[in-house]
Amino acid sequence: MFSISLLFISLFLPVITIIILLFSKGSFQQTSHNARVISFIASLVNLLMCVYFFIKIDSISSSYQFVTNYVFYDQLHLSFSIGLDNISLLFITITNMLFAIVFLFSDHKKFSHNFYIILLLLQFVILGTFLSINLFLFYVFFESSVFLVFFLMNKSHTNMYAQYKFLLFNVLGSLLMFVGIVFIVFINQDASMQSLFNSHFSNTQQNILWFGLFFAFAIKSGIFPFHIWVSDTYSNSENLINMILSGILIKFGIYGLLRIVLPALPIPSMNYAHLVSWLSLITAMFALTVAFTKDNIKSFIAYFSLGHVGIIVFGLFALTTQSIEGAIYQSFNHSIFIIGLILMFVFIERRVVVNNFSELRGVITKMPIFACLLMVVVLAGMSIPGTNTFIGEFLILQGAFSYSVKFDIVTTFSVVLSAAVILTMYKKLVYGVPTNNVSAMVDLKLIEILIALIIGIIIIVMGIFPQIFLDLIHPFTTKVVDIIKAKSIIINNVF
Amino acid sequence: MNETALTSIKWISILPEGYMLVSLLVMLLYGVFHKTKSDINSQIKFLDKYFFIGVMLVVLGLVLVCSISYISIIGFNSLIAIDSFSSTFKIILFISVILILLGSKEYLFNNIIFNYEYIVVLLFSFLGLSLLISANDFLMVFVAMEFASLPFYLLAINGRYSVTNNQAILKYFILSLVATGMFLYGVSFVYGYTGSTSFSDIKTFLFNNSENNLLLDFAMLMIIISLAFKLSLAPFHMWVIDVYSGLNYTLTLILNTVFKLAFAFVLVKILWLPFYAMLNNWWYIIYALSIASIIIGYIGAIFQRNIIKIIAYSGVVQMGFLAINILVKNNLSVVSLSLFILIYIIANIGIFTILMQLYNNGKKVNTIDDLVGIYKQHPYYSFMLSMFFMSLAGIPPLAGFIGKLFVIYLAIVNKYYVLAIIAVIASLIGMFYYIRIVKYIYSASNVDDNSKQLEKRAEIFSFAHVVLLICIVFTTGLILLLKPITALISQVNLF
Repeated sequence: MFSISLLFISLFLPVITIIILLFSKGSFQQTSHNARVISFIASLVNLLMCVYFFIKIDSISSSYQFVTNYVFYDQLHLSFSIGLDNISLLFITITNMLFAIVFLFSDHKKFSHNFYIILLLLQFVILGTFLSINLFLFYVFFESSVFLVFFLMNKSHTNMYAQYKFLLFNVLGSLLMFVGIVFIVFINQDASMQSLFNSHFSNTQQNILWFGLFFAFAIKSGIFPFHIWVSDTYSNSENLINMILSGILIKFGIYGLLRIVLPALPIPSMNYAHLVSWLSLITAMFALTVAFTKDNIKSFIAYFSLGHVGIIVFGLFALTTQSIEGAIYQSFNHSIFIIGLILMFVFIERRVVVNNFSELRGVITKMPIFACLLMVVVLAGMSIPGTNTFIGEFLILQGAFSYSVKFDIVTTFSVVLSAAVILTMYKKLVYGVPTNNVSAMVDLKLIEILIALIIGIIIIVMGIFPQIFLDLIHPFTTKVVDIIKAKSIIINNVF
Repeated sequence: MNETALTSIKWISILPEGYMLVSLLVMLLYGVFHKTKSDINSQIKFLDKYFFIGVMLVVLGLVLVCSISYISIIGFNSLIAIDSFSSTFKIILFISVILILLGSKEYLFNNIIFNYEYIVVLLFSFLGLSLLISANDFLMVFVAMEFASLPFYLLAINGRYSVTNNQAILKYFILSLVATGMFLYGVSFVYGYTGSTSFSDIKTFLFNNSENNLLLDFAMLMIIISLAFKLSLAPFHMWVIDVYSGLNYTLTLILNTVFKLAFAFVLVKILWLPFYAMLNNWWYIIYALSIASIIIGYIGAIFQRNIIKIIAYSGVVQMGFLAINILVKNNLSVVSLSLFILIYIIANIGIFTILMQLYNNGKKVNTIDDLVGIYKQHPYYSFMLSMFFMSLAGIPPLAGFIGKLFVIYLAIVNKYYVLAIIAVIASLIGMFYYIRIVKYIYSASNVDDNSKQLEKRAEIFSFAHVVLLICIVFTTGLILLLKPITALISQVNLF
């Protein structure tokens, strides 16, 4: 039939955990506590499997390994094909790490075990998106994640404005992507991602397709005119869901641009690169400026995260090897740094529930270790040399220099702006006269220190020894840049 | 001469219908002459027995249909045609009839019927639908149409003691007769122009004389409009909204599923067999009908809060998608037609069976606000109801998405880009209120927080639950079963 590789087991491990959880009985407390423990163990096992894949993967080749392929319907090229690429490996490592942290720090007194089941389903869907080779399968997982997050947002059915906004924006994007994907599959007569590199579209087809697909992924990443859903969504969900949203789901947009738009449509990407640069840099400057003014913690995180994503998309469309590598590397770094930042706020939330920064000042008087570990994350947010975000920024800036100097200068300004924003946040939160609710806080417990320390160490290690990861990203990036160069030579030779 | 007259009849072509006619008459006589004791228990036992005799009858009819499904015959002086396409639809018809009967048995017995004639009249209606599918002549279509509708009027009258029901019956009766009258009007013009009412004769005539005749155009338009009325394609869908909310659940289910199945097949057959030479004339009509149905159907249900009206509008939309399949005649569209109608019917049977079971358990669901918090008392029903609604919305990876995938793929293969984009973006609107229903089901209700789970283990083995199991397995698992099911369906040869 089809070969069950270890990757298949890793992908379906959340589903197996769900089936185990469906049989659990008992009171609310017991079932949710069991659910939390079992889910955490499952994510840890998944993370260990990722470590195994790191060891076993052939990091030089750019082809898919550990492939599982099962054809559903041949005439429409619907098949269940999953495989591990270098870039996919990095993304699924971050996903598993993120979900392990989410399960570890979720409050089982607040969430029922159905919540954990939906979270596990979300993990399955996210892993599937990064691992799928078939375009239709990619679309199925891509869209399912939207619905699962919709159900994970708040529980009441009366005030659903933010949820509908999130749903409608994201589903609009993915529906346009659907039409685009069906069109690509029909023209190529092949639905696999590798075949995208060999696609030939006519001029009008390319342009319309590019706009449709870019629209879809821009909505997902929150680029300037399509950023409207981000702030409301983040303000209305739990911090842990925000972690998943900004840690991984925003990266879906970047992953889609990387895997589908750049390989299949290199010429329009070149032609419209200026447009994308404008939009993404407007996003970066605009979002960071707005983040500066926000008092609500979750809105602040939303806009701050959006600012960095703008820079990533700019790097992606600068279309040089260094900038694309920088963009991909920066998306991992951004995930890790955002996970760290939101985790700090989760720690605060476990002690006292606050919504605004104005209610929470002078934390250092009671939580010095917290302030210390938060500093590492803040340094990553500022892209200080030594942290991983610096490497990403630097690569993007250097790669984009040959593309356009003026956009590069704007990006540098946005780096400065992000430094100002996050340092001000740190100062307001940590120093100053303590507010009333600070007096009830205790410092970080051992497990919290451990996880925050691990994140800090990852940030610094990825900033000092980036070569290991950059080597993994390199094969795919060269493939993309080669196809862009090849197609542009054809165009230049024709004229 | 007598010999040839008799042999050209080919009685085997109506084997299932003839068998059903004879056995229904025998069953009716049995019901008339059977003497029961006058106490309520023995009457109920007799009704039970009678009902199962009816179901067995249909099962045997299914066996007979399958037995003649692989041969191509034209019988009764070309009034009846059996080929694999019509056999596929007949098998779907018989299976849905069995599922409908089994699913609604408890509901009917507890609430609606007190006499045995109900079942016989229902089965006569199905007999008419089966004849409709095998019709090869306009007059046969008319006779079968009336054969199917007249018993249905009789069944509908059963609830004549409520005002809404009266309205609904009257509307349905009058409008349905008007539609049949229009059909006959068109057929009479076709007969006047071509000299025959048989599909194959008209086809050869029109292929030989291919001049554009205004009168023939007009006649074809009348025929299409009357069938569009029966199929509830917009803008002829208005009756559906009122009629469905007036009738009881079983009759609405029958009207929504099997009637549409049969009339859809008749529309397809009429357009692909006799009128195929006039493709340029009816193509625009069907295109307009499908776009109008999709847009009007989705927009119309936004402000509705009555569940049956939302289901009625969703039926309009699904018929719009079905009509897209008619625009092109090739193997893929045949598979797509059969699969789409099967998915649609199973989702509807599932929804209505759950509504009937909830009604039996004392929970009368009229508006979507009645569905709030239902997940606590009926967790399995809530899950299944959500799955069926999400299947109708086209959410991957459920069955409804696969149906839509086929339709959109078909549209793009034949370069109907505008249609594909409109269909896809309009389904965004639909997702809003389908997801709202699911959210309402799973949100906490304000009323009763101590309600225990009402589904007890002892009641698991009822026929309605078996029907629900089949429906939910099909809806959620179609993506895995796609290969065998399409292999069964695609053994058709087009006329």
